[in-house]
Amino acid sequence: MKRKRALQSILFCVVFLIVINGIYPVLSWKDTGGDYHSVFDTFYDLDGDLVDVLFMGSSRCYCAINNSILWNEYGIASISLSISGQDLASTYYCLVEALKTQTPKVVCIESYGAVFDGYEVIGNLYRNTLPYKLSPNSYEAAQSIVTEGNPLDYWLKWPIVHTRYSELTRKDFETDFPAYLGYSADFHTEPIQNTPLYTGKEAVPTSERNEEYLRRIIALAKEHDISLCFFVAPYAASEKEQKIYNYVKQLAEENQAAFLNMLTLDDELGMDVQTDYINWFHTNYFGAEKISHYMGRYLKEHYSLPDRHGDGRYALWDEDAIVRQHEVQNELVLRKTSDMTDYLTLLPQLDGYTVFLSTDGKYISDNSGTDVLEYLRGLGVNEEYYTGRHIWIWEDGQIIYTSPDTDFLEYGDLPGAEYALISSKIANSVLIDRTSHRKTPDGINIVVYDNVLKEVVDSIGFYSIESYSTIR
Amino acid sequence: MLFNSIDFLMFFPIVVLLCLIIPRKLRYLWLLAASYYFYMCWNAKYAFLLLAVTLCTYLSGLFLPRCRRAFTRRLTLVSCILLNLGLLFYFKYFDLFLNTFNRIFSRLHFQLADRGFDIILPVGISFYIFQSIGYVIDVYRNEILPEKNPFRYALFVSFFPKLVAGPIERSGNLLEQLRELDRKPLLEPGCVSGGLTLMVWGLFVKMVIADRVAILVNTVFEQFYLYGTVALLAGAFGFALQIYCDFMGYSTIAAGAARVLGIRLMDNFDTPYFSRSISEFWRRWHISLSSWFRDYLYIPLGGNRCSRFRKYFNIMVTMSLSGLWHGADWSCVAWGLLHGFYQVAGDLTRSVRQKIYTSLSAKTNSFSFHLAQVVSTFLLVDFAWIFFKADSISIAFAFCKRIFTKWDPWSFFNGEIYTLGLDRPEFNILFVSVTVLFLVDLIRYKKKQNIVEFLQEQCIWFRWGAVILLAASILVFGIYGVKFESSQFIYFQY
Repeated sequence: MKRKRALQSILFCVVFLIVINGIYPVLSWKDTGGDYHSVFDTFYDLDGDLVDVLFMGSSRCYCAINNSILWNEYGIASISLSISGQDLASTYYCLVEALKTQTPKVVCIESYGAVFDGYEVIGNLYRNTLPYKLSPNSYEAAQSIVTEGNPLDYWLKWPIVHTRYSELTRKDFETDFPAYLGYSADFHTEPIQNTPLYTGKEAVPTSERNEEYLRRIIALAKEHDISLCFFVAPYAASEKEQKIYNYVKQLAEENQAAFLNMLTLDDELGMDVQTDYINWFHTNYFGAEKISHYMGRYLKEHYSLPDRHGDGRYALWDEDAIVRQHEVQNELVLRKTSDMTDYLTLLPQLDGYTVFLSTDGKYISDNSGTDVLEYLRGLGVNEEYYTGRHIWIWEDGQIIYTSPDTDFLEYGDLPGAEYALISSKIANSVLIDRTSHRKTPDGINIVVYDNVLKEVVDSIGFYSIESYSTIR
Repeated sequence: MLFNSIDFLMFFPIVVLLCLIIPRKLRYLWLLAASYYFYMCWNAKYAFLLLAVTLCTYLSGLFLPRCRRAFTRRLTLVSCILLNLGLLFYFKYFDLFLNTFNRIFSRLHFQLADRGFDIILPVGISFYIFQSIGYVIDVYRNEILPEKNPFRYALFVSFFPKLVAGPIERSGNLLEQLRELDRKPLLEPGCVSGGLTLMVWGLFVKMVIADRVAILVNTVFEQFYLYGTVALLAGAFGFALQIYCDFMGYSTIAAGAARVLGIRLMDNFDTPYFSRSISEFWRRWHISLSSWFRDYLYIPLGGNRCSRFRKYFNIMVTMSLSGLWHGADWSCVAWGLLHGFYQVAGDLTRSVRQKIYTSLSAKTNSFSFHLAQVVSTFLLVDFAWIFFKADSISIAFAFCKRIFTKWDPWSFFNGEIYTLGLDRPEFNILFVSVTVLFLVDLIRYKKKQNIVEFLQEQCIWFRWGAVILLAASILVFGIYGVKFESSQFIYFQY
């Protein structure tokens, strides 16, 4: 009887733990560098000993280093365990965590952490404490990083993440996110005023706490026989900050670590203050492109790094490259194209997309002079259909659906979403995840769904009454 | 150390595990040490106060049977009671007395002191002093033999599950069980699973319902002057729910923790909001205190076996002191008096009401009649809660006045209700949780079964499913952690 009771108790605990284990991933913190981008989730899913170069640091690091460029151009398998607001203490504990499963040949640390202390933004504190798995290292990290509140809450996570129940979205319940190796592409551009380059030798010490963790990072790297490369990504650094970087440089050189101050490499990098920054201390996609190329060449020249292309274990890096390529295509090609004829010409070339095109109302303009029918014919639309109100679907450039002549209701699934096509005597409508994307009552409406990023990336209308003017 | 804290989550299993290791005969000593540690987590100094109350009542209990003369017995009893009530007065009521005295005599330019002595109220003082006084009276009445073992008696006073917010245990129940503790096997299967289930239920009621509705209640009561009828009613009804779930939750966790340790504490709540009269409400609400006042004050005053006037006097005295017990504030006394008034008025109008029912041929045994009684009793109780919650009597009156004068039914429909601290998802969670609470209370009311007894009759999949669902709800929807400050149990201040 006692044994039966004991077994029942154990079984009850197991069932309870299974339930809790099922709930936790939903509530868990999924953001290290933007909504639903947690590089830790990628990292914990990696097989052991894959990463050759590990990047660490604050948001300045994940804005500056484009892992897909390092992969595509130099065959370097890198990952950026960089987190918004990551201070040097957090960098140290991240490194400890990384070295549990990976044996990188080089660890590159963006050194902005040396010029600030602690966390002023609570969100950054969450980003730097909550992604860890439970372990003695994460306990120590919480104890060191959390200065206000109870570190135990941050270590256990539940006391914090359970409050997310009120902000859960569909993404919290999904498990299949696009590949993410840490780089966050930002295409926003804001001209900045660069600060004068400090060329003197004066070095201002970083805080005692920062120095302690710098030394611990150096010691840990030595212990694991890892090459360290401290670097400073370009930004409008103040003179005092540049003097602190001089101190970091001294410390690095004393310990046979490399120090790459990109503040002094504007010409080599080709940085342009008009086009390469999001703001005064973050680089945008164009800046990151230049920095990543330079970094790729530098790493190849100074370290013995194998080209991992063609190695089946690195499929994730190929996936990441495709994701990044889609981001670029969506932002710099698709969303930049406004002319209807250009847009219609572009559609058949889209690989990895589902395109919905609907003709609605008086969709054939009487006075535009544009032969819309010719373009539709060019897309493969059957002539007998394009004089009526219809919806067509293209996938990877091929028509996969043409709506019937009568009123219709069609629905189906996309990767990570669902669609519904509704046609009545009044209007045509394309709904993706219950959201209508109808832009114009008269003319052509197009919705582009990215099957890789699993989201609607463009939705555009061409208003026939006003010569197919563009409505976004 | 709150029951709904990580500290208690670590403390309680350690206490239970060490109970298993320690020889049975020494188990009560371990529980005593654990209880004092539990109490000292709030304020270590006040352990001496607990010790003083324990020593005083222990020695009185030992001395009483040896007194041959009735006068000496009575003198011992009265001295002991006065000493304990003196401590209670000093720590809990001195500031009230001082402020009231100064206010009354300020016109004569006479005052005792500029301000109060800034005394921190020792947590749970009213509970353990009343329990200790109850023990001495029981010994005086020869209803129980005095406890000779000072450590066992100290455990009776300080037993940690009920130490800071009751129930106010009777020596006939708790002391007798502590005397049997050496002979009882620990961790009896039914006790452990039943106790843990009770703890989970108590935590659910406290953390998911009480602490959630507290957000709305505090919003409304703190800025009542900004709100109209709908919000004020929501606040008033919310407080009725909050105080019930808070206190019932605590009592249930206490009963669960005690049961895991093999002790059955007395029931403190029995579906009070299903009461059909105010006197029935007091038989179902805070039963340990109500029965204490009944046995040690109301009946000795003459109870209801006396003239009608004297009976009403006894009711008013008992209820006003009950109000004063709940808080060192005249609004609490007003709350008690209001309840006394309800009972007196109910008794005075009983024959008239009966005549009306008869003349109208009202079906007094019908569901609708009972429902009307339950609803009207609840409304009266809830009206009185406004005085209990408000910071002063004048605020309570202002609050009530606004309910009747700031009529704004549109705010029920325009979403304003969701701006009182709880948005729509929070309201949804609250609604589902309160529905669960209602069903559990309904089962108790109809079948006379508490949640443990009910679950024990069910299939294993339902039993486990219910407990896992409750525990998971606490973990996910409970108000705790960084975003919300865990509010203390309301009854700790008594």
